[in-house]
Amino acid sequence: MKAPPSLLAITLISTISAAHAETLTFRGTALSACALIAPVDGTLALNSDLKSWATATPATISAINTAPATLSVTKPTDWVSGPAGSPPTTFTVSAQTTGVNLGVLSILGNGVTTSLSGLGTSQLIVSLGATASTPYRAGNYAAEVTVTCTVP
Amino acid sequence: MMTKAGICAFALLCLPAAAAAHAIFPGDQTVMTLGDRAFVRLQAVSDPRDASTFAVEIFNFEDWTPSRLAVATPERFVLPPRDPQSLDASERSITVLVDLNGKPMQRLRICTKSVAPRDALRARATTITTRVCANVTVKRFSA
Repeated sequence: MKAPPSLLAITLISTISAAHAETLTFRGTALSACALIAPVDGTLALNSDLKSWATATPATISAINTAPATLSVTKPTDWVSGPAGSPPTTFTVSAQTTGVNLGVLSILGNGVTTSLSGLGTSQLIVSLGATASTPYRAGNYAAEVTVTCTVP
Repeated sequence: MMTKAGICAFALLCLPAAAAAHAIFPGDQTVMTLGDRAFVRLQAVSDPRDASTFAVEIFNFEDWTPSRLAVATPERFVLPPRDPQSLDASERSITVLVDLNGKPMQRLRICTKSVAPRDALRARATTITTRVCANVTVKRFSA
């Protein structure tokens, strides 16, 4: 059966008017995390009294946080390597941040800590000191600090 | 979308070429369970120049004391060096079995810590070890 011309025209017009805009959506998720990047070890120099070490070049590391985070530095309890018979040592650690979070880390427990309230990249600069009551004998000494980043 | 590889790629672009990123994803997650235990899955990411060893540490959320209510698999792992032709970081999946120990909820901090290689020839040095932590909350479905 053949459709009348008027019906064909109505069908054509309704088809043309059915064209309309669609919205396409992009979705993404920024994962909550803190990444520690590019650790650079520091060096120590023995003072002339032979009973204390000071930082010659500080250790550095960068942190990138996508959520407010806490950054802390735990000081060593002993040398991880050193000559036999090296004297008992007391360590001190200090640190400061530059970048999106600027400041000096505050002393907390066995280290120092700060809040990374700004989001982005922060550079952490760590200095270490060591003292003993008797002179250090000749040898190679190494101490280890742990940098921890966590979302609170 | 900032993916795990995205953050490491971002880090590579922003920092010196020798950059090595260490991260754990997601940084915060909540897992619901019907029983007394739950499996939590995390992704450890690193962008090392050389193969790096990491240890998994699990702490109680409030006081950072080691938790006896969770076990990680693996507890220690090695991430291979990144393919120099790729921006993708090396990554490793970590599974943690958490025991609610009769409680309705447990909060833990699950961390990966880099294990510094011992080098007796390095003198007068301060070695940096890195630790990144994720917060995990396990809750029991209430009836």
